[in-house]
Amino acid sequence: MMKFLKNRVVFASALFGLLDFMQGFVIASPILIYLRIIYENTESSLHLWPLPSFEIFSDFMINHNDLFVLYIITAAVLYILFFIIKSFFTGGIYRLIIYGRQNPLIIKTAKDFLKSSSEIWIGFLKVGIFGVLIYGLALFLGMIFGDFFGRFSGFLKFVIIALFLLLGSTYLQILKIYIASTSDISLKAAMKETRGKISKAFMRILIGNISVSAAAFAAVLILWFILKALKSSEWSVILMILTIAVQQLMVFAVCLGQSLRINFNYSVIKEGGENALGGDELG
Amino acid sequence: MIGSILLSISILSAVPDISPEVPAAYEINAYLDDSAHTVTGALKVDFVNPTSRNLDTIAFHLYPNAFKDTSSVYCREDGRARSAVERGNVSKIEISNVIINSGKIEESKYGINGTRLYVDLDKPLRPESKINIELDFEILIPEIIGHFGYDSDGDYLIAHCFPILCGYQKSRLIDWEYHANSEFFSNFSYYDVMIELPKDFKAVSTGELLRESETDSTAVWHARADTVIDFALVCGADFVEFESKIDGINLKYLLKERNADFYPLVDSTVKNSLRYCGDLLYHYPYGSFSIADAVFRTAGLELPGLIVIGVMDANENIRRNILKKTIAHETAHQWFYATIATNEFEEPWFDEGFASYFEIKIASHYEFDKFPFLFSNYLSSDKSVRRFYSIADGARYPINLKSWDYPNRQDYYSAVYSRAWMVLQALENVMGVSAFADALKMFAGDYRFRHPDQRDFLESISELSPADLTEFTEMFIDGTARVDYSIESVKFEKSVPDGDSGDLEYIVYVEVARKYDGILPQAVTLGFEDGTEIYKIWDGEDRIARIIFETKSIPVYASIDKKTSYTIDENMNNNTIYLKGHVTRMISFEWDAIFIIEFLASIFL
Repeated sequence: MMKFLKNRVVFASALFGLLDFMQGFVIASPILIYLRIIYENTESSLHLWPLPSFEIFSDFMINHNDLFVLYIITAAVLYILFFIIKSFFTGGIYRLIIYGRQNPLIIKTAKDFLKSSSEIWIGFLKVGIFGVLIYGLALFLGMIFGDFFGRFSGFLKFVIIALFLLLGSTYLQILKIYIASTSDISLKAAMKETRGKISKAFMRILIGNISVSAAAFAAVLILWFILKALKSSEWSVILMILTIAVQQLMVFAVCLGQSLRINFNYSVIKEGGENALGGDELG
Repeated sequence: MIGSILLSISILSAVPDISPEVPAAYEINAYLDDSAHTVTGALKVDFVNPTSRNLDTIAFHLYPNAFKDTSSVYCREDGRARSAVERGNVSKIEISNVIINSGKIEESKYGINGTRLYVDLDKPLRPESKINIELDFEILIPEIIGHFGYDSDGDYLIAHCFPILCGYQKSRLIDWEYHANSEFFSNFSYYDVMIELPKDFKAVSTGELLRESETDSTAVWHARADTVIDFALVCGADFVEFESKIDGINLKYLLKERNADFYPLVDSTVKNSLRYCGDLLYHYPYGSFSIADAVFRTAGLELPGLIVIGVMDANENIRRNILKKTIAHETAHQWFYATIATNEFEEPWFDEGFASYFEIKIASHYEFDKFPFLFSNYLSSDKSVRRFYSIADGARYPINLKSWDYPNRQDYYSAVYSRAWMVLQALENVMGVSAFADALKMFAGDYRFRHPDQRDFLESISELSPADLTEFTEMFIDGTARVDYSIESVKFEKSVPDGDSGDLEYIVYVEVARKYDGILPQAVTLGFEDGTEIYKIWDGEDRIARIIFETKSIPVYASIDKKTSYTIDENMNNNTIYLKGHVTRMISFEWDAIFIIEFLASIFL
């Protein structure tokens, strides 16, 4: 168990999860503070489980719509600020995953981590901003192809959109891997240098990423059913704790999938192998 | 065509007795040409002047002309209809050979004005005098537009098509143009209709409909309807027929083949709705009731003795519930519209508000007002959505405007359907549930087969109302009053116990506030640890009031309108204050909110 927890991929996933939690906390906090003030002593607070009742939502939207607009602006600003910070730490976590393999630089302390993060921060910021374009394009193409194939099945539409988003995400990961492994923060160079490798190993990258994502999706789905079962009962403190635990496991499952994909993509781009599970460290 | 009409001419059993209460008897012979999408035929009407004055002109509705070209009132008001007409999807009705009392009249004696035909009389028609008018018509049927046409399966909804007389309400001619928001008004009449349809067509209509004879390619159908305000027919080849019966009423269903599996659901909802409205108002007065499924632009359409519903794909919970609610709504129109024949032009809230009111009552009674969403214990409700829809609109217009006085469809629906329902529900609470039910039953009985207006309704129910409804009417029917009551604070202090009982007593001060102009009496409730409650009624008039309770223990909460009787209250969140906050509940919710952002962030790492 300890070996599992010490595994760099697992550890990196936990760090990703922590980062995501912080993001959720920071972005949601302003509205949650306000909601706590207006709902804590009201009947509405008893109707927030399993989801806020429609009346709570509608009455909030009608009677506090100015606040809602203000919150959206605040959340957008907080998102941008947190994106800058997140890009910094994400770089360190990427290096944590890929340096465990063949790179002589080993991250042992928090100081090492911060130092390695700072070296590639700007590069990660560039990829992050570029990501808006990539995800936009992926969504656009996904919608077009999804609409076409969606005629046969609604589920197929969802799958095709998800597939295009996955492709976009994979490309962004590869750019980040390049920056993390070379310390070259030029986005242009990253795109140029990775182009040939991607085209050469496209099918391997595609199948590997789909496999890992499908496994993560299956894990999230199982956890979702557990969450659904928990939430379908009357509220209690114990249920609340269990629910939080399952929710965090869902996030961890997604983060683990992301870390495994990073590891796998690094293998393909840098090594030509497909050791997605982090060598023999996972046993 | 003429041959077909001649073929279909029937021998009427007996000409019904027309009177000012049922002032017209129609005999219509028509032929539907499926390839040309036309209905051609001849109409004869015996009409008695139901007013107290002489009539110089007789007016007919020509609804199909609403889509003749883009200059019509309807097309000027409705962009969707206008673009349909621009694309060439037009309808029109042409009138010829007008004969009055067996004498053909010159064309100069009658003229078409938009969606109306006016026929000038040589000599005035005196009160209670009779006249016979004959005319030929040719109607071009469009692909579904407004309230009629043929749908994408080639099935026909022939409603509001025939040239019928404009109605009179309290001796006043109601001959308004066909507006985009407006529906219909006409007087009770007798109809005897022979219509020739393609042989493979199935059909349902207002009244009793029988397939009388067949040729090689067509079949002649004969419909008779007594004391109905209009005649409509749905027909097509793409239907499966079902028949059923309840409380002496013959039910006939035409469902699209692909929706045939929904028959049990449709049948049970129709029966429940008929029974529910029958119990609260009066027994459905006709011998037959038909339900047709049509690919229709709105969810449903009420017609006399016939409703049209879009069954669509009702596999999902939400659609299934919408279908049930549509059936309940349109069935309720068999009272408020078809037999208590209000003026849908000028007082659209009257029938739509009541149909919505009964729809929600039926849904609640038969437990299809809520359905699980995502979690089995999370119940979503169409009622909540409807309330939101109206409240979000901010009560900008009174509910009793003429249908075309609303600037757009959203304001029309918001006021006429949703706010009207909330106003009726508030009225029910102001009068008391039992008194309101009695008053409604009395009103329905008194105005069955009549044309009441809003004043008749208010005068009628005022007789049984324990409260004066003048102010209520001014605020909520004629006006745009909004409602929000809140508990502002709860304070308590220990009081000196009375006598020797030694029980510690508390004086609890509940500060309540009225935030908008709408005034409604309110129950202010205190709840205690053991589950007991005490309440006081507050007239709700002051902007801020202090309600004082004397209690044996400290309350857990104070609440105003705890049972949420008034859905018109725009903010339910401020209706209760608990003395002790629900911190863990809030933490639970906060984790949920954080999780959603966290999870999305993890996906787009």
